[in-house]
Amino acid sequence: MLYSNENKNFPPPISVETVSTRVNKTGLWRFLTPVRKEKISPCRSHCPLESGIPRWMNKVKEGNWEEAWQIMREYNPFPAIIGYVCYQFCVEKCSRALYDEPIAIGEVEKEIGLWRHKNYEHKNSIPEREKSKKVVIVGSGPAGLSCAFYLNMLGVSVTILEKLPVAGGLLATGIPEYRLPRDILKKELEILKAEGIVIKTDYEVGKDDLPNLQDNFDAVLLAVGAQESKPLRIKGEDLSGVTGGVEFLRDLHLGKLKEVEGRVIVIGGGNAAVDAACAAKRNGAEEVTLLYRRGEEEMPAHPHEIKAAVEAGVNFIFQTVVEEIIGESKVQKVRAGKTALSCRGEEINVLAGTEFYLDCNLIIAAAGQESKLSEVAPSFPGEPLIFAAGDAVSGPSTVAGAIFSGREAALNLFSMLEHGKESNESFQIASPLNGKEEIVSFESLNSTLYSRQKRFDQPQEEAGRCFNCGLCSKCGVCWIFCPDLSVDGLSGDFEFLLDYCKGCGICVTECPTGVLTMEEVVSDEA
Amino acid sequence: MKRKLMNGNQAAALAVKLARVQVVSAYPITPQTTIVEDLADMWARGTFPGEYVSVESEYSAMAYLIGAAYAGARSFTATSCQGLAYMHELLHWASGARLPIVMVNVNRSMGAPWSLEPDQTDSLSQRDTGWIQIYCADVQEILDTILLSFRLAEESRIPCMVVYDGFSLSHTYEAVEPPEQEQVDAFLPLPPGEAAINPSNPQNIQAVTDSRYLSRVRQELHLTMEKVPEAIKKMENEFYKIFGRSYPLVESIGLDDAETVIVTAGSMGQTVKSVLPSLSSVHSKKGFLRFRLFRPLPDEDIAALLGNAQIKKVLVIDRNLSAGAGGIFAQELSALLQGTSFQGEIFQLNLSGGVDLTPDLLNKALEKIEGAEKSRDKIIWGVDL
Amino acid sequence: MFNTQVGDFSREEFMSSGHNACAGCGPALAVRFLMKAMGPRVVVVITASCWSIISGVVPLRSLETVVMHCPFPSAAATGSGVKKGLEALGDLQTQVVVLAGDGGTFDIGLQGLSGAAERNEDILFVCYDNEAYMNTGMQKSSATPYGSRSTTTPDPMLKTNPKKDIMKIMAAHRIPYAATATIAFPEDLISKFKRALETKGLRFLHLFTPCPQGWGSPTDKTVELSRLAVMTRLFPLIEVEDGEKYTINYLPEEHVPIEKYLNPQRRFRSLDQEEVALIQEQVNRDWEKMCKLTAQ
Repeated sequence: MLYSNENKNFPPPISVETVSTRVNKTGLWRFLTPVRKEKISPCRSHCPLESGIPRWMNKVKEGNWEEAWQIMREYNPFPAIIGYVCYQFCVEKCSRALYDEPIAIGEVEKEIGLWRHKNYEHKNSIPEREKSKKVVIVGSGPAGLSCAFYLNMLGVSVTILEKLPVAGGLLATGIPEYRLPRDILKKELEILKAEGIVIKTDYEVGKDDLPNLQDNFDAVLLAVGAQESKPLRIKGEDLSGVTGGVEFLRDLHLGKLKEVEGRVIVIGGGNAAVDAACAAKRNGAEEVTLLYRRGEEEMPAHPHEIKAAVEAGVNFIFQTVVEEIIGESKVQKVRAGKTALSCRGEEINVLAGTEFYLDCNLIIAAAGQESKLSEVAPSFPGEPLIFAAGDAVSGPSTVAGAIFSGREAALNLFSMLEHGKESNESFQIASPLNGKEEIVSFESLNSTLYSRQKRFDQPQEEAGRCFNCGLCSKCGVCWIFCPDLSVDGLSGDFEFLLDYCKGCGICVTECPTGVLTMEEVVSDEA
Repeated sequence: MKRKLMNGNQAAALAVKLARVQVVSAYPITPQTTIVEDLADMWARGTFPGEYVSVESEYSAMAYLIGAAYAGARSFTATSCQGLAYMHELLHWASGARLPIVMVNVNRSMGAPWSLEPDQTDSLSQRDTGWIQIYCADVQEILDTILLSFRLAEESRIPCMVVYDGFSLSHTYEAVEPPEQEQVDAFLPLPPGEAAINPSNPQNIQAVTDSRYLSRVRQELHLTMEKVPEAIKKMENEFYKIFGRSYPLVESIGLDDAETVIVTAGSMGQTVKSVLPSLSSVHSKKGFLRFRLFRPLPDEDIAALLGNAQIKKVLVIDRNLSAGAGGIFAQELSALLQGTSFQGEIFQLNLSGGVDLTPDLLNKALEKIEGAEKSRDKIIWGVDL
Repeated sequence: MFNTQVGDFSREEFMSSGHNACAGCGPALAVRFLMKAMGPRVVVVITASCWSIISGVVPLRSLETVVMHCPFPSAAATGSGVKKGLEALGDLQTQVVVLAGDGGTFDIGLQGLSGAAERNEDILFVCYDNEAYMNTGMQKSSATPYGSRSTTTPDPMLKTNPKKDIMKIMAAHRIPYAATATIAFPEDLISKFKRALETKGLRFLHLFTPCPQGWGSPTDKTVELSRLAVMTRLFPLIEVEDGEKYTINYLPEEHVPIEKYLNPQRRFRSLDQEEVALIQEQVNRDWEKMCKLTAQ
């Protein structure tokens, strides 16, 4: 051949290149770097349990119920219960609400709970291990049960003492059966017992019992709830036929009260008042009237509850206060007055000359509850090894709030009892948020990747609608749309290959969950 | 061997067939058209087994061949004047990419105005495109040169342009000895049997370069070009053994004792050669030199022939023009004779526009230079005589 | 429901990182998808365009196949020649893909493309359209849209003529397969590449590939703008078979106003409301015409 090379240091007589561009580290061009940092979803930020909803949604979407449950229990050990009773503040904030229809979060959560009930097997649940520490929990409401669950999982021996003949607290004696079927609670209690938790009912703890408990256990948790209705502090309150909302519901559930007769007046505007009104109506009351001192807009009861009450036939009278209960030995009527329109927190002004009378046979005072904590432990806080959780501390809240409180108590107790000891690595408990976390906005999501789609009945399909806000769902969109091949598509974790990333930000803009952000990152070399 | 009467274009088409060309793409232009018509005809009748593609322009014809040659196929096209100019950027590309394409250019005047006359400025304008250029003087030479060109192009990986005059060769019938296929196969290796590219061997061919790299590419092209004259000589020896004919790089007659030398290229060489004996009887002794290989310039061969103190005058007949500088062969010649023992004067007879070289015209031109001492700055225009 | 499912894509890449495309380059992404769809069965002929650089400068290469560069107007002819050469040498398997920008397709390459289309050469011609000569710094091409600024249609003399309708031109050649696609719809794009590979004869793909540098759009908006071009009905995703059978592959769920597409781009910043309304009308008319074509 004529073209044998004259220039020995120059291989081709023509330009034929074979070296991969990978030697060219285009990452040096970058001034902003994509960072994958999980953020808080709006639903989670409004969940009393701070539940990692997008995480377990993602697992349900994959049909992996086992892992969905394992994630769920980091936040909530009783998803079936919460699925039934929670008011679902999460749904109100669901990003999908701004797109088509919010995710049916409670429905999916309930399904995880029901899956757990169906698939529960003791041997698969927690590892057997020697339990060196013992804790006693007073009260078997949601806070107490939650704390018991977590402590037990962490390897602490737990005994629950319940003063009533049934366990479950408000779950058993406060929440109407139509909101929480009792076999759901029964199943949860069964599971807890099977896991080794001892529940003793009809066991009331008074302040004199405390020293004894302190001696026999490493710690005491008081989760006695807020089970006493607040007094009305008006004339005639002592008459027969006047009862509290919590007490009324408890008596009904325990069978002490079989039926309700005549006209019933319920005083109060919270969930307990509405529950009591409904229960009275369902149990035979001729007429049930709920009196609330402010306007309809201000009613603290959840709209679902109010709707259920209206459907049950409860009358509502707003801007009305009862000033006196009238009767001889037994209530006969009340004297009431109209009030000026006011907001919660403002003082109530009764308008002169608006006085009127209502006849009645039963008055249910459901204007607030209080705790007996101070009676059980007069010098709490301050006593060694005594803790408290749930409504007993916070005042009446929600079931979810109580479960959260129990979870927090378990974490605190465990770190006190076993300080320095690592918890079981296969079992995690979510720590409370500090309120400073970034919450994903709808605008930071790339919702355009989804078609508009209303709710599905089937939970797995419905979970597939979840935007997984703030979570890396491993969807791979960052990898798909990277013009610089600087996302590793082979590993499955879609790690950024910063040697090549030019920092264009397409991955961040295209990310459907908002888990990515562009940040100024100073490299180690610099 | 049987001799056949054929014109230049027929000879070219026959050579392409005998060379077992694999891809032909072409666009018609007078006076080249009958080459591609003949090839199309052979292709349609199945006697030309290669691919024949009738494209929509000369530009695409050359682009097509660049593609085919990238793939490794032996490829050919033919064109003329405007068509060649239209290909211009691709000619650079083909040589830069070292693609062994062979092309016939049939000389025709560049417009404007329109003309069909055989001016050489079309091919000479492509002087710097990095192609080998060979100018033919008769029909047999056309056929033989095309066969040689495929071997030359493939061995040097430099594209090769075979050039001859429109009509006076393209359409003029001469007796030709057509070679046998076995002879051609003995001289010219069979075309490539497999593709030069394969996706499993990733390459980035003719990517953007820097100046130093590109300068090396250019240097390599030049260094290979410099080896071409010797290579042709060797190939001509082989050619002679097989076909009984061969051609020198530069054709010459009577230079040993000539005082006046007539220099030209292409079919005009035939004219000059035929009248040379009668010319020599008048005034001084005449010699003859014909540029056959033009690029690479066989400067050493020409310098050896003309670097001779007894030569007083050289008349270069250029049927081409670089306006403002004169005839192109004349310029090339005067440049290459610098530093040799040539001491004569160079005169120019310019026939640009395709003016026919008649013995009468040549005589008149010779008379003009006979008395002149220095005429370097003066062109004798054929059209004035 | 989720339009871009990672499971649908091959994880294998036939393009290397480290290439020299600008940050947020649409054409780089388009060719990455192209190579994914093609796999290792193709050779690529690239004409003068951004991809002359992205494919690697000496001594590098960014594609895992043979790439051959060619002069600006010659893309279709060179590609056809490569295919014919391979066939002549007995390689009937390897496909040839020609990669040209809008300049190399709509403008300087149109004659060669038309010729190749008329001859029905067996190549896949891919035009990646970033609506101007971007490799040389945003000079106007006949693919530059009405009202766009470019360095050769500077303020206040913005481009006054609409973009050439290249799909109609190609359809008029009755080629077996022509389609439009864009990077925001990778499944559609990849399926069209695959379909094109399965078709014999000249296949034409018109890819809409935003250029943040030229368009004056944020680098992260490249995919979003591609999506908006489809959502606003400016760039319908269509297929044309044998120059006759038109199909619209994606019907936008709702009517997105053209401003949403125009506003993030600095090249359109001089447009007034009236001109935007004109563009919207043109988009509406074109869409109606397209709908009629598909109905036939």
